[in-house]
This record gives sequence, structure tokens and C-alpha cells, in this order.
Amino acid sequence: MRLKQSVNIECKNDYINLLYGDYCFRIDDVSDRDQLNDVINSSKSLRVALYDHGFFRNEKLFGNDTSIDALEFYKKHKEFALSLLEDVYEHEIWDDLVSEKSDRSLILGFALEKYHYIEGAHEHMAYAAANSTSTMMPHLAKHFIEEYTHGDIYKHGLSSFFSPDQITKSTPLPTTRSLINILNEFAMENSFCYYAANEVLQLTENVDNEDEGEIGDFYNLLIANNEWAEPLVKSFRAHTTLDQNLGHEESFLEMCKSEKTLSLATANLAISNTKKIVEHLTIFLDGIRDFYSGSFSPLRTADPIISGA
Amino acid sequence: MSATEALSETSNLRYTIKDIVNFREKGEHLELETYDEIYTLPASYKKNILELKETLPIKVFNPNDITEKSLEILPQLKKTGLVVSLRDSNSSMPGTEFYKECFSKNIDRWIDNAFSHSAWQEMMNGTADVNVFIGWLFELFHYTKNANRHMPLSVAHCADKRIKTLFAVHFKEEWNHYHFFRRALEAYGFSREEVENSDPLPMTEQMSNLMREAARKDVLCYAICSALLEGTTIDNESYDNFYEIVREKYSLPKGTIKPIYEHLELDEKYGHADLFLEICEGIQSISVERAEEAVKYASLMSENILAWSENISDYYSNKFSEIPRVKADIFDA
Repeated sequence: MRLKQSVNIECKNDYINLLYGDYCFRIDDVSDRDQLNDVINSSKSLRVALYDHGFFRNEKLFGNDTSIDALEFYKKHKEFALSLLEDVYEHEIWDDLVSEKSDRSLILGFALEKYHYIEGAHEHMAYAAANSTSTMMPHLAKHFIEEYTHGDIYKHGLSSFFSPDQITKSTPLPTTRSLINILNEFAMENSFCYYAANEVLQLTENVDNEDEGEIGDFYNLLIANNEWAEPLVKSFRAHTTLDQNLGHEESFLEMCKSEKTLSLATANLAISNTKKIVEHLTIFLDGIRDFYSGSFSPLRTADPIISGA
Repeated sequence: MSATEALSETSNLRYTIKDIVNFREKGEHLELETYDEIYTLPASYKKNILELKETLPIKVFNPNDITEKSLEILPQLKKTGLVVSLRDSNSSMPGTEFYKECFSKNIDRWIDNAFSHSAWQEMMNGTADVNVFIGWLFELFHYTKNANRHMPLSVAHCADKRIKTLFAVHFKEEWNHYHFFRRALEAYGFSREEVENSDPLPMTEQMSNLMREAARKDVLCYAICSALLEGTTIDNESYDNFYEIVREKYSLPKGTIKPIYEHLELDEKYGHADLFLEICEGIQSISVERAEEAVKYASLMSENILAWSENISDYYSNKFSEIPRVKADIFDA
């Protein structure tokens, strides 16, 4: 990523100040722009602060062409998505869930909201398949067919705690509906750009390692500190394994190969969707943490329509 | 007579425990706060109430599903009002009854919940960053502009010609109201381009996405959410106070709030607040199942507005946030 032109850089003898409006970021031991970029790219907190503040806008990656190679886009997109996902991986909820003092309501609430989100595949993946271009159609149809039953895996885990009706009729948080709805909207607008956003979510389940990697460590710790949650963790694990075995980590690459080239407008929409999905994913996690931590029960039910009212 | 037997007379009814939004353990007492009341019960009931909460509603009590102790306290909980009996799921009600019992009795609570975020009070007393108010204007600009994404969709998905026409007229009267908020922001110093090219927050998008979802689901779900949203703009007295106080606290130019008053006056003139009653009056019968779904959407919209406030407050009070928000377009087009 490159710095936006309007950022002022004040070079001192042994450090550099980045000036943006009223704010100043000091970078030590950097003497030129290339090294400055390296420092920024290796310093996560600074990079996030600068990104949020608009330093990374208007990057010129592909000259003045009107279209770009889809495989080149794939690489840039993955890099962009992984850098944004760092915030998701560092979200406070993960420590809360595996802590020795973790909250029953939070763990069950997390599972319920994840169930609703995964069940949402019936909406966004179906919209995507139904609205896809002919190039994207085989990919999106296959993806939907392979994923639409995944909500049942979470439902099975939750069935040790609640009746099937309670699970399906529980009310998702507004922030969970927000995540599903933005995917619905992407799917109705542009099937390739929808998947560019969905790919970010796939990246959170697909790991490159042969074993479960860090996700496996997370599940082990969760169960070590919360033995009662074993049926849930079993379902989490079953879902991760199934996702990995489906080979969906290659799906977006295959789509890019099929597309061959992308217009810059499409590339920008895909990038915009990617940024938005990470924002929605973060809010999804915020919502779960805020609502369920310390709540009386994780079951959210709609306002009752009372007899004799 | 055992507790199971005592309940058998009413075993064909469905029961539920009201949603418990907060709870406190105070020595031997347990305080349970629901949306409409605070119940004080023996602390020893906690485990059983949780069990009931996570078991109800069931149509026929099965002693194998609920422990005897929980069944024993159930009649007492019914007396307090914490446990309520639900309407027969196979029954129905006329639209006027739905309006009276399911909408009118809940609307104040939904609106109170929607605007319960501390940012509103902080703006009133001047302790919030001025950017939170400016951010509210930006997001309102997008929210009103997005009426173009959900109002026509509600017309397209509506099968009832009478309601379809009411929605079409509503759209005709509302579609361009975003200009009020653009003008407010221009008066504060932003250019027209900055306002129009800004990027809405995720929960602002969700406001219209939820309306689009409701429009696809059922006209009643859409109409009740729309009525809730109209209800947030009809209390002129409280809005007069809010905008005037905020303007003084932050020494804002008069032009920043003048268009907002014009908007409120126009909404009042159109009488959109009465639209939902008009819709309900023409509906002969609404099944309980359909009514439950509509109420669920209204409740979700109320929560959605609260989450929207949280998103606005979080983003615009952060000194590192971009104002206006710009789109992520890293490729030169």
C-alpha cells in the first residue's frame, strides 16, 4: 500500500513526522519513503490508525488501464483481506470465550449467533446463485449446494441445550442480521464482488495447515476451560473440518481464473465490499460480546403476543 | 395435587417467560428486569427460572422436560406476571386489534429502547464530541437517501392493491428528503460532493437493509417497521428541544438545524404517522403467527436503531476516524 499524496512528511535528522490534519505520527530511524512504507507495513497499530485515517486511499496499483488481470487482482485482494482480518483475529471476544472465567451465556450466545449467520447461507448464497453471471454461475451454484446444510451442524451442537424450535425461533442480534443482510445485498448486486467479500469469511475458516492450526488450539482451550461446552465445540470442529475438506480455499482463485480480466470499476466494488464485510464482521463480534457477556440467558425471544390481550 | 396436575387444566396453552434484559442478585433476593417491569423473587429460584426460560414455550408440560421444582414455582411466576400465557398459535385477530394490542401498547417502549443510548444525553449536555452530532447528520443523510432502496421494494412485493397505493404515495412524498440533511451539512461547511461521496456506516446500511428484508418478507413486517420509524419523528416538542439545545451547546450555525425543522414539519404535514393505522384498518384477519413475525421485526428495528446509535457514537467520537468516511477504492478507475 502507498501513502496518500496529501500526507505531509516532515523529515528530521533521525526521525520522520507524518502530519495529517491536527495529528502527528513520529517514525524513528527512517530516511526515505520506501523504508517508511516498510515501517508502516510492519507496524500494525500504526498501519491500522493510518488506514482508518485515510492514508491508504487512492493507491495506484495498475496504472491507467481500464481493466486488470483477475489473477493479479486475486493476489492483491488476498493481501488486502488478510491485513484487514488482523483486527478480527485480535478481537477481545476470542480471549473472553476461552478464558477460565468464561461466561456460559457468552459461549451459548456465540454459538446461537453463529448458527443464525451460517443458516443465512440460505439467503445470501441463494441470492448469489440466482443473480450470478454465466461465468460465476457454476461456482456459486456449487458453493451454495455444498454449504446450505451447514447451519444444521451448529443446530446439532446447540440441541444439547435447547429444543429445535427454540434454536430456529430465537431472535438473532441486529448486528448478526446486519452481517447476513450486507451479504444479501452484495449477492443481489454483483456476483463476483459478492464472493470477494464472502472470501474474507472463508479465510476465517480455511487454514493452510493440514491440521486445524490456530483454530484447533482455540477449540482445545475452549473445551479445557468449559467441559460442559463439549457438544458445541464438537459442532464447531465438525464445521471447520467440513469447510476445509470441501476445498473452498481454492474457490475464489478458481472464480478469478474463470473471469480472466476485471474492469477497474468491478475491482473497486470488490475491494469496497471486502472492506465493508470486515466492518460488519467486527460489529457482529462486538454485538455478541456486548449482549451476551453476563446476560441471564442466551435465549433471545420475540415480544410475546399475550393471551387475552 | 402435584404441580404437574395443577397445570394440567391449562396444558393446552403455551407459556413463556418475558425476556430478561438485566438481573441482579441481592442477598436472598433476585431482581429480574424485563422490558416493562422489575420482579423481585427468592434468589433460590434462579436456577429454576433459567431452566424455565430455556424450556418454555412448550405446548404440553412434560415432567421429563422440566424439574418438579420449576413446575412448582410456575404458578407463582404466572401470578407475578413474569410468566405469561401466549395466544393460541392457530387463532387470528382483525387488523384493528393488531394495531391496538400489538403496536400501540409497545410503540413507546420500542422508541424508548431505540433512543436509550447515552450519546443522546451526551449531545444534549455538550459532553459528546461535536463530531458525534455531525456524524448523526451524515448518517441521517444516507439513511433518508436509502429510502429509495426500500420504499419502492415494499411496493413491488406488496400483493394488496390498497396498501400498494398507500406505499407508493408515501414514497412519492419521501423519496428526496435526503436533501434536508445535505443542506444541514453544507451549512456546517462540507461541500455537496463531500456529502454525496461519503460512505455510510455499516449499521446505517443495515437500517435500509433491514427494511428491504422486511419488504421481501411481508407487507405487515415492513409497515410496522416503517410506523416505528415514523414514530421517531412525530414528537415535535422533544425534537425542538434536542436540536435547539445541541445547536446552542456547540454554537452551530442556524443553517445546520433549519433544514431539519423543515423536514419535521413536512413529515407532520403529510401525516405519515397515521399510515399504519390506515393499513391495519383494512386488514380483515391477521394470524397469530403472522402477528408474531411482524412484532419480531418491530422489536428488531428498535434494537437496530440502538445499535446504529452505538456505531455512530463509536466511530465519530474517535479522533482517528475520517469525516466524511470515504469509500475504499484502491484501484484507479
